[in-house]
Formats: sequence, structure tokens, C-alpha cells
Amino acid sequence: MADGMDSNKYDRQLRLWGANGQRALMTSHILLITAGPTGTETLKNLVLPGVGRFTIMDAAKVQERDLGNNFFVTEEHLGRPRAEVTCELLLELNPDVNGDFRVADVASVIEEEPQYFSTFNLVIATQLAAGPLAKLAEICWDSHTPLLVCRSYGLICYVRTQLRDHCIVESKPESDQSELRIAAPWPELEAHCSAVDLAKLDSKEHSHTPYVVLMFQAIAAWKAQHGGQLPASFEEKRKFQQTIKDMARDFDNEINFQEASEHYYKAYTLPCVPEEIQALLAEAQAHDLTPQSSSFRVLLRALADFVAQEGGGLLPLPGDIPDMTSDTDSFVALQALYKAKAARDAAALATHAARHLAALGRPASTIAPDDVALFAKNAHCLLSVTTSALKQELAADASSSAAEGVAEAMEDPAELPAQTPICWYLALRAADRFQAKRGRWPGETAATIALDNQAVWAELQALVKELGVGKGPLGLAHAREVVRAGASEVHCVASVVGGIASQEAVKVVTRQYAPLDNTAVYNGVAGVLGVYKL
Amino acid sequence: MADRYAHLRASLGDELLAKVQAAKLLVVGAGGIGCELLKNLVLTGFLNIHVVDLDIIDVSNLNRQFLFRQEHVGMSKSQVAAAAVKVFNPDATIVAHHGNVKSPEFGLNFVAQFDLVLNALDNVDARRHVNRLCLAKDKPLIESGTTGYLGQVTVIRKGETECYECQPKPTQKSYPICTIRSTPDKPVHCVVWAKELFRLLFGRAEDSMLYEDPAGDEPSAYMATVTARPEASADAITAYAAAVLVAQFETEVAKRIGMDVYKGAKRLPEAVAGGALRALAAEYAQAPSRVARKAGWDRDVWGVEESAREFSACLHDVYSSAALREHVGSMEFDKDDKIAMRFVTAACNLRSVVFHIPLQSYHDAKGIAGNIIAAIATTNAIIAGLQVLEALKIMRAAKPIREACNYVWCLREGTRKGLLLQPTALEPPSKGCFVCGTRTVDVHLDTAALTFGEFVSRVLKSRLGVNEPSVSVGSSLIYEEGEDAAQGLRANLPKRLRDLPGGGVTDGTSLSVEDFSQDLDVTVCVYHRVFDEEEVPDGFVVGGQMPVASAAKPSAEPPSAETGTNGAPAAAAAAAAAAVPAAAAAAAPTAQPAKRGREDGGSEEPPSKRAAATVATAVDTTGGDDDDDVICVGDD
Repeated sequence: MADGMDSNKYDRQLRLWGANGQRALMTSHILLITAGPTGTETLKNLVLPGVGRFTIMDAAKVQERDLGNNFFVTEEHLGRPRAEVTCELLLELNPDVNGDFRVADVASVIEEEPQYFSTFNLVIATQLAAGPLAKLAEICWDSHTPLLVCRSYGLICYVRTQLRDHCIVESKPESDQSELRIAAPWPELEAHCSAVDLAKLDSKEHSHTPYVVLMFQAIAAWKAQHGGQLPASFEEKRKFQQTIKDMARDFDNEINFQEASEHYYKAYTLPCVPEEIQALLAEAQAHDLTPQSSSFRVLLRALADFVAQEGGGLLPLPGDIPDMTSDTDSFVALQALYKAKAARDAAALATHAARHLAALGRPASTIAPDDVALFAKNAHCLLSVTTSALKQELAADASSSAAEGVAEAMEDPAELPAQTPICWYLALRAADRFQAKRGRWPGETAATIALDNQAVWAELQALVKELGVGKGPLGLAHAREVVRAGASEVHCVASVVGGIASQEAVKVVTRQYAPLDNTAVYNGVAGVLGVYKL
Repeated sequence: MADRYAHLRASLGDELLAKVQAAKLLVVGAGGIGCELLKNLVLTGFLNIHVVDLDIIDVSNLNRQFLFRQEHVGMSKSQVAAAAVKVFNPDATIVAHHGNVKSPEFGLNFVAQFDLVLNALDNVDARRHVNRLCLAKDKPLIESGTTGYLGQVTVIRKGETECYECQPKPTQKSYPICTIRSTPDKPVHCVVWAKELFRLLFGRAEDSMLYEDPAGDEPSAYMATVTARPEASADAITAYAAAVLVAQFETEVAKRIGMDVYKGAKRLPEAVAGGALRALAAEYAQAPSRVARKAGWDRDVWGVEESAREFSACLHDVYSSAALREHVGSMEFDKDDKIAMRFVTAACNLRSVVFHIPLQSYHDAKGIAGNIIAAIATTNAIIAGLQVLEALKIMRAAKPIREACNYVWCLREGTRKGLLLQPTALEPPSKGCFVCGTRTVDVHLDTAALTFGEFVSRVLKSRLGVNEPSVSVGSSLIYEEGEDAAQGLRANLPKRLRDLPGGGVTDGTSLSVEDFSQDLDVTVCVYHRVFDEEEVPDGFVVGGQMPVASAAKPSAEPPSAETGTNGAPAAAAAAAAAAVPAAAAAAAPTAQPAKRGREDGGSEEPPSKRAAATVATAVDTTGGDDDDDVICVGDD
């Protein structure tokens, strides 16, 4: 097809992230560091759905031990650069995708070309030692480049996001996002709902009047009898619900009245701007736009203007209404009413945006009308995500951003306390400290296992002390497991971490759904995955 | 030792690795989960694997079934997958079987040779069958499923855990015939109708819900037109297309309005003017599928004119091709067949115009017609990885399976403690389970109306998953299937239940149903009850699932999308996860074994949303049923 969007091949995923998401995915360029099983499994899950372009950076050559756990290499590849071989084989998976590779040591690229990393939409760093990782994370933080850190270590896996001012329009929250505005109707909705004379309807029409109309009339009647006040106390709210039931001719058989009774609180709940959005708007007003401001920032500023002016303190109407018992005509009429209001609000937002763009010397066409409409529709669930910086997390004292999250998780352990994923997070960090000091992973040599156990246990105790948290369920067993695994990568664990990490990568590059903030740890021993803010 | 097993030896230890290498595994399904699973198993050291799949590779598989390439489209999934993973460990033996796991060659003797069975299936029917085989041969079974971002893995072991059928599965949706034929009010009704029209025109016409017996009392408004197959000339096909369009969207509609079918309806259907339809039929060269298409054409919504042109274009495509013409009378609807899907979209939209129902794009109509479940690589990777971790626990055999293994749910939003993969303890077997427990099931139906044949196909096979039933009343055998089955007993099939030999099946009769292929032995207790077709379109109710309100809903139904998602995350998660096995997730819902009869056409649809019929999440596909406001004022 003209734009390369093969809707047949991508059919099953388009039904999840839509054409917008697919377009964003297909124009992304992703860097993968280290082409081991964890890295290639993650990238595989991005190549299949059609990521635009990838680059693999890896200095290693294919060795015998890669054959057992890396799906992308076979015996014939022994001795060739791993980056080259995996690049070739990954490209075979999907002819729509472009890919290249660099046979280079990431540590030296970090030193010599730090600006290289900011050319990517996302950097995925896998199986990277703590030293170079800390430097890479700092580079990405400073350049606002999204970073995804993944590792698998024996039966444990770990995914960490580092995002800075990452803006999301389509956050797709799971809860019901419809806004009916029954308690604060605009004139057309008010006229539409008041025009229905329930008393004159036959029984079929009566039982197929949408609950929006029923609730509008119920709340209007309530206000008339209560000096214009909405139900406020618990007692009043309960009474109000009863008035809806009393309006039915045959409550048990009128599903629309049952629905109205079920959603009764929507009749007196006044719409408002959620706190998170208020904070975003306040921030937008506090900073002047610059010619470099992103579309998101321009629209956010326009949104603040809209709320202050046309919106009368409210966000644009999303315009969707939930399904409800109704005859088709009434439903379609009601739906059209909400859609028209949403379109008017989006148009007003577009006018504000155009004015701001003009002031910056940019044409109004910089932001497509569809994008304005999408922004308006999602105004109540916009997100700007900034995770903690990895540098903050790794600070070697109680100022670490991880201190609070670790303490909280230790106090509220999983069913089997020793298997709480946070314990394995700490154990991995202890292994990192061991590796940083000795230049090798614990357990790599059979002769030193007992010593390594003790050394890792000592690191683990030192770590929790630095963070200022108690030992909780931590014990020598955690150190032993880390030593036993000896930094091995097991394929099925890599498959799990690859699935989780690639899903986060899709969220980041499509700017849809709330991304992980900021750490997921999977414990394959007990099958538990925990998410922590560290 | 830095050999290919170095990582495994370090992680698993020598003892477990040896058990892994010695084990013999069966993988059922080589689709989305199956590809991941086979790769994971081979790279986790498993050396002896058989894989069964009946499917061939479709282009829509390529976004996640990574063992397949463009050049494999049309080839056997199991064979291509086996060859692909074999490369990754030359020590491994992978045996591919291209076939239906329900066929006799994969029966009890076949299953007996394995240590462990892993399901990577996309439908409830095959899952039930494998469940029974594993129970019969006492083999541990690792069951899996995904739907979009959600998924689950569980382990089944005879006597220790719940079996696949201990919890009732939500059944597929049926629609009252009169709603489809006369009083549709949702897009899904029009899609079902369009599929039935497809069957009437191109398939086994007499199986279509729209078939009218030419020898019947009332003259049909369209049967003569439909059966007058045209010659291959363009003019003849155009004339045929025009005649069918007029018959369906003008004459038949007008006839029903004239019959006062819609008395009391709020808004009468409106026939499409025949003159316009005739003109449009001639303009098939301007059909949306023929003119230059731009990206996203499948999301455009065709109005009357485009739909009528497309309708005609599809008939031209079929009748001007010698290869396709030959199959008229035996075609099966397949959502991945472009002509079939274009036809269904066009017919659905014309029907929707008549009944003032919102129109659908090709893409959305396909979602409804194929009951398409979203599927992505990422979830499949996670789930297949988890399956292998459960397999390792079984191999280690340190504890009984019920203690060692878990039911793991892959959730979209974390639990209170921030858990996204939530393991929960496996449940013990349910005492009331008709498969692994009491072996008794109650069925409520109209013994005076239902024929024994309908009972066998719809109750025993479709609902209870019996593969080759043998049925006895008291000591006398009244029906059997299989190789040496007594053919004479087939004479019982057309009889009403009440009229069967030995006093008939009436209220309170117990039937003994056996299936040797599944080692299943069940007592079916029949209770006589007459149902309203509107309330129970299937005409029967199984077990304690008596209808409460309008539709026959399964007792373990998750909360609807509207109510479920506002509650605590755990409740929503439970709803989502509970929906997964039912939604028959996994990838590749294509090329199902050909089924005949009305269930096939009317029951695969997800509940529609009036505003926008999309298949979004598991919660949407099985919960949130809004079909309780069907307005049916006519009676067929």
C-alpha cells in the first residue's frame, strides 16, 4: 500500500493501537545495545509489528554459548559479529523494516560520541554493566532521549524506563471516560432533554428513552423542589436515586430506568478539570512557548486558554457516550448532540492553537486538525511523564530516589515474603556492585562460589544500609541464587522480559497508554512480577 | 564449559537439565503462542517435541508468528514451524503433524506417549478435547491464551487441579432468527444477515437462515431470482446482480412492510429504490474495490451507492472467473477471503440503510464478521515464556503440581501491590464438573420440538464438546458414531426426542453418553421445558444456567465493560482474566474446520456496540453484552 501500512498483515494489532499508533511505530528509529537473547527477543517483538528502523550495537562475536539461548544465531554464524548476524536475521522477519548495525563497544561510543544516542527515538540497553549504563542514562537524560533498560539474569528479569517530559495524548485509561454533563448541560442538551414528555410516551417509547434524558429530568425536578440545590448529603443522594426509580412505570421491566438508577450519581456530579490536568495547564501558563515548543506544548497552552474562555472552566467535551438502552433514533440523536458539541470545542481549541502558532511565526497547518481533535477528545487524560533519573536511583545514600520505593515494598511483601520481586531487584544490584569491583560476575567460576556467596551477601547488606532500609526478608539465599545463576541468560526468561520490554517500547514510541514508571522486576522462581517507582 | 547448554546448566542445574532433555512433549497449536512456545522449548533444552496444527499460514499471521515468512503463506503451520525451530538445535527432534487434534489419529494412544502436553490453541472446542485426552491419560497439561494485552497460563492435572471444564465457559452468542431476518437493530445483526446472504448466494443455500423452500406455501420474494445463476457474460452478471439487489433491498423489504411485520415499530424500514439499484449494478467498475485506493481505504464507510456497486462487483468477480464459479453452491464464508468480505460489507451496509442502522467500514465489518481477537507479539512472548517456566516446575517434580504450579494472569493494570503478572494458587477439581467430577449434566429443552439430530449436534457436540457420541437410554443403545458404528441407528436422528424408541426422552429421562475417543462417560439428565425463542435462541439451557433476564448468560460471566472497569483494579483484572480463556484467545483465529448449520453463521459474533462495533479487549468481547433491547415485533 501507498504508505506501507499493510492493513492485512497488521490487522490484529491495528485493532489495539490504531492507525495513529502504527504510523508512529513505522517512523521510529530504535537503538538496541547488546544482541544477546534479551536484546534480540525484545527487538523481534518490535520488528514483527513493523518498527520503522533499528540499529544494533554490539562488539561481541558469536560464540558457542550463544547457540543455546539465542534464537537468532546458529553454528554457521560462529565467529561473525553478533550485531551483523542478528541484524540480518531480524530483517528477514519483516521486509517493511530497515535495520543496520555497528560493531562497536558501547562503552567507547559513550565516551567518544555521546551525541550519537540522541539521534534515536528510543534507546534499549540490554545486559549492560552498571558502569557504562550509568553514563548512558545520564546522556539520555540530558538529551531527553527515552531509555529502556532490560536485563535477564538467571530466572530474574528487570525492565526500567527513563523518560523525561514524555507527553502522551492517547493514554487510554481503563476506566469509563464518557462525560455526560447532565448536571451542567449546554443549551442544546438541555433543550433536547427537556423536550421529551415522558407522560405522553407509549410504554415501548417510555422503556426506550435513554437514561441521559431520564436523569436530566430527574435532576431538574429535584432542583426545582430543593431551591436549585443538587443532592449533597448521603441521605439526599439516596432519596434522589429513589426518585429515579419512582419515575418508572414498571421498574423491573424498564431497563433504561434500571440503568439510570445504577448511574444516578452522574446526574449530580459536576464536571471538573482533573487535578493532574490542572497542574499541566498551570505549568503551560507559567512558561512561554518558544519556536521549538512541541505540538503537545502548544496545544496544552491553547487548552489553558480554552478552559479560561469558551470552556467556562471545563475541558473540551470528549463527545463519546456509553451504550445504553434506547431505540436507535433516540440514541443516534443524542449521540449527534454530543458529537456536535465536541466538534465545536475542538474547533475553538484549534483557533487558540493557531493564534499561538502565528505568534511563534509558524503556520497553523503545523498541527493537523485531526491531531487537535484527538487532543481535545483526550484532554481529560493527557499525561506528561517524567520518571526519576537512573542517576538519582543509583545514588549511594538515602537521597536515592529508590529509598522510598524499596522501603514501601519491603514493608508490604508478597505472599511469600522472600519472593517479593523487590528482593530480587536488590540482589541484582548487589551482583552489579560485585561485578563493578571485581570485573567479573559472581558465580562465573565454580571454585569461588562459596566466597562469592558471602561477597554478594555483604554487598546486599551494604546496599540496604545505604538506602536506609531494613533487611526485611532478605537473606543469604538471595545472594546464593544470584551466584548460582552466574549472569546466565535463559531463553524462556529472555522471552518474558522481551515481551514486557517490547510492549513498553511500543507504548513509548506510539505515545499511547501510560508507560511503566519506572521499574518492573519479574521473579521466575515464584512467577511474580512487581512494579516499583524507584 | 561454554557449549550451547552452558546457560541452561548454570540456571537449571545438571539434574533438571537432564530431565528436560529426556522429556517428550506435545505442543497443540503452532500459531501465535505456538511459535513462541516451540522456540522457547527448544532453546530451553527440550529435545523431543511433537506439534499438531491443522492451519495453514495466512498473511495476517506474519505480525507475530515469527517462524513464518511471506513465502510460507499457504503452507502448513506445524511443518514450517517445526523446520524453523529445528535449525536452532540440531540435537532436537521436532515432529510436525498437519491435522486436527480432534481426529482419531491424535487420540488416546497418541497422547499416551508424552510426558507433558502444552496447549497453544485459539478455540474452546479443541481445548476441551485436549483437556479430556489429558485427563484420560493422566498427563499434565499447560493451558494458555492471550487476547490483546491480556493473557493467562494455567496447569491442569487429573485429580489435583481444576480441569479446563470445571468452570463453565461463556458460550457463543446466538441471535433470534426473526431479529436477523426481519427486525435487525444493530450492526452485528446486519453482518450476520450478510453472511447468511453469502451462504444463500454462494454456499449451501439450504443451510442459510434466509433459505425459503420453493415448494413451501408462501411464494418467496427472492428465491427464484437468487437461484437463476447467470452466464459468464458481463451483461448477464450485471442483470443478475441488479435482480438480486432489487429482490433483497426493495421487493423483500416492501413485502414485509406490507405484511405489517413492523406494526408498532418506531420507524419503518425503507426499501431502496429499485431503479437506483439497477443503475448502480451496472456501475460495478466504479466499486470502491476497483477504483484507485488510497491508504486506509478499508476504514472508509461505503454508503448506498458504493455498497451497491461493490455488491455487483463481487458477483462479477465470482461469475466471471471459471475457477470461482465452479464453487458456487459450496463456498464457506471466510473473513480473510477478500471477495467474501467485500460482499458482506456491501450487503451489511445496504441492509443497515434499510433499517436505519449505523454503517460499517470494511475493517470494522471484518472485525464483527470474523469475531476477530486482537493479537500481538508482545503478549504471546510473555505467555509462552511463562508456559515454559511452568513446564520446568513440572519437570523438576519437587512438589505435587498443585503446589508447584500457579495460575498466572497477565494483567493490564497492576494489582494493589503493583503486580502485573499475578500468580494464584491452582484450584482443586470442582466436584460438580461433568468432565472430571460427577460426570452428570442437566439439560433443559423442549422434548416435543427438538429432534434427536439437533440434540446430538447442538447439545452434545457443540455445547458439551463430545467428539463421537454413543447414546443409550437405559440398556438400549440409540445412537453411535465412529468406525464400526451401527448405521441403522441413524434412523433415530430425524425423530423428536419424545418419539425416540423405548418410551422416548421426556421430562426426567437420563441418557448415557459415551465417547471412546475422549474416554468420556456422562449422564445427561433431560428436563422438559419450553423456551421463548427471544429469551433462549438456542432452544436449550445446560446445567444450572437457567436464564434470569433475557439472554442465556453463563453463570461465571465477568462484569460488563461498563461496570467492571470502575471497580477495584483487582475486580477489573479478574474480569479481564476470566474473559480470556473464554474468548478463546491465542492468535490465528483463521480457517476453522468447516462447520455447517446455523450455529456457524449466527453465533460467532461479538456483542456489538451500537455506537461503534469494534473488538477492543477481552472485556468487550465477552462482557458488556447489550443485546437485551432487541425489538422484535414480527414472527417468522
